[in-house]
Amino acid sequence: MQAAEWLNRRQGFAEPGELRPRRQLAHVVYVILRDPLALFSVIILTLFVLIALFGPWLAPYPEQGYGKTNVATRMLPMSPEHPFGTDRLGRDMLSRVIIAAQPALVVSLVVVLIAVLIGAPLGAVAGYFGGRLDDLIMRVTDLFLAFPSLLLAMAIVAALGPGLDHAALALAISWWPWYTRLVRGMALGLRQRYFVQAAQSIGVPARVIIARHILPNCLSPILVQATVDIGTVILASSSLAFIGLGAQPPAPDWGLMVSEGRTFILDEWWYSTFPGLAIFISVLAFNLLGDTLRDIFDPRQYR
Amino acid sequence: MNHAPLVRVESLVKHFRLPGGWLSGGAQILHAIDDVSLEIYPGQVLGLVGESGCGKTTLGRCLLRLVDPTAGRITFEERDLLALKGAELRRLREEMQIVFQSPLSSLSPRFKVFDCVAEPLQTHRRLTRAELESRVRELLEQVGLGRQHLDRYPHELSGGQCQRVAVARALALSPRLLVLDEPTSALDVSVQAQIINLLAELRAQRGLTYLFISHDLGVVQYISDRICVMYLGKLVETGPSDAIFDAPRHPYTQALISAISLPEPGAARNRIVLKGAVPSPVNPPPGCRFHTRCPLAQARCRVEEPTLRSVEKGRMVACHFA
Repeated sequence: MQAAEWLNRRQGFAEPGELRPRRQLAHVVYVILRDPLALFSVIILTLFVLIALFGPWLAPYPEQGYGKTNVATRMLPMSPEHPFGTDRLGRDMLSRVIIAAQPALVVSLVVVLIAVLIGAPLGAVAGYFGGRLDDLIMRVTDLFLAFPSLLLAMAIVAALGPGLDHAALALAISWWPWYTRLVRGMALGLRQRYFVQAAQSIGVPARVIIARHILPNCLSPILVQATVDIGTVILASSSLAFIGLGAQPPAPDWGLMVSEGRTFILDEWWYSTFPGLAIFISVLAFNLLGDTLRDIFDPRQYR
Repeated sequence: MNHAPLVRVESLVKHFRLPGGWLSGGAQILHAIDDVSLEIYPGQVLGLVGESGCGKTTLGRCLLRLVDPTAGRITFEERDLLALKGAELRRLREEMQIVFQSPLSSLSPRFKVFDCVAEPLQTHRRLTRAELESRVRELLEQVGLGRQHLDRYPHELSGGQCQRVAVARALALSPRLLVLDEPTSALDVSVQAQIINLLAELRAQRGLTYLFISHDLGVVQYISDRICVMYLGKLVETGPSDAIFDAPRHPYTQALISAISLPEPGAARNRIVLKGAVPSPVNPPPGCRFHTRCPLAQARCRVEEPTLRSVEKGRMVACHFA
């Protein structure tokens, strides 16, 4: 087999253009099936979403998942009735982990959505217009980027007071500058493209050019970045909960559970381990899905 | 040529400031266009010829106000183009449109053919959906595309088809002037001929005026009534197309024309091969800008810059010896 042919077959196509006709669904399925890690991430995330949607029906003790205590079953190890063991207030850990999936997913989706809605239009405006406006917007984003995101979020929550809603707000505030940067870079390139110049020479107003030409053509990298960020935000909101700034007890939250269990880590190891695993697997799956999306959007850039 | 010119460009200058910090010794100035004057007459095709980087594309972009010139005047039917703002400028944009050289890049990858052609109409006209659709179909028909292309994306079209869509978009508002910026240079030779013929047809039907920018002299000779030759941001020769091709006067034009590939193989020709590369437009040579590569260059050429002077009716040359 010729090297080029082998490479083409490995990448799944000969020419980027050749692939286009079967682009849509068939191509997506093809990319996912080709790559075991992509398949893994899609399966895990499907499960994650199902658990988040139907948690109360899936959990063996849903009312314990939401916080009802049962002193009779404190600190039980793993058993058929309690596959993940129980915590110091006698709550079934499996139910706790399942019930916590929904707030984790909702918070991270909301945070990333807010970050994209603020960051992307600002980046497009900065990149498209350039000049003073660009300088102004980018200096403000630099101000936010100067602090590590988590540290900035911690400072904001500390100022607002702990709580899941404040943590979400703080994370959104510290996340949007990344999208501004991403989209600005794209917009700088796009405004030189002939189709944007054609729109300018037609006399299409700038706001319409940004909405119809610039932003839609930034969609793929935004989507890739957002997918990875959903995982990162799950980790960040868990971290905030771990240090007591995020979700407050008795709310079900993976970070909070890990934090509560850490004093018992040597004897009752299941307490922290299972919520920790839930964080680990969901963050990993979102990262892998991000990579997969990149492959789908830009097949030339196969790893 | 008794009419008043449609477009008059007077002493146009465009300098670009190149970004340069204190490490590279301050900002540098790129002289894209230096003191260029020309006229485009209604119903005519003006060919603008020159090597890449000589400023011909920048000139076209100045005409459409895609870049703002550093100095000079451009008038469109005696209206000062550079002074227009807001609504007035938008109204004038209906009168002039541009077709770019890269067919695929001139169409938004997320727009269907219909949306591409509909965009100018949606921007400037209030049409009902039905009117819009029939107008777009009509335009596509005029450039040789059918309704089966309406729902295609640009990447599903060939280069020639993309360029037809770009022409349809440019014609949507019935402009009087089209700036054609190397509209065929990215296409296969057979497709080039189709597009050139399409442009010639449209011009005949609609009485359009073209500014045809190209480095392909064969194409320019075929379509142009008058020709301007540019070198390093300066006009070196202008005149009627036939006259220039029959007897080029400027040594640069002579070299360009001698380099056209001839249709008959083995035909006798005396090819003038220029030595060296085009000097950088950041530091254009003093005197005549062409003296570094000119076969006729004398001491005078290195110091004294030749002005564009009339040599016969309708012809101007910028050379001391022409």
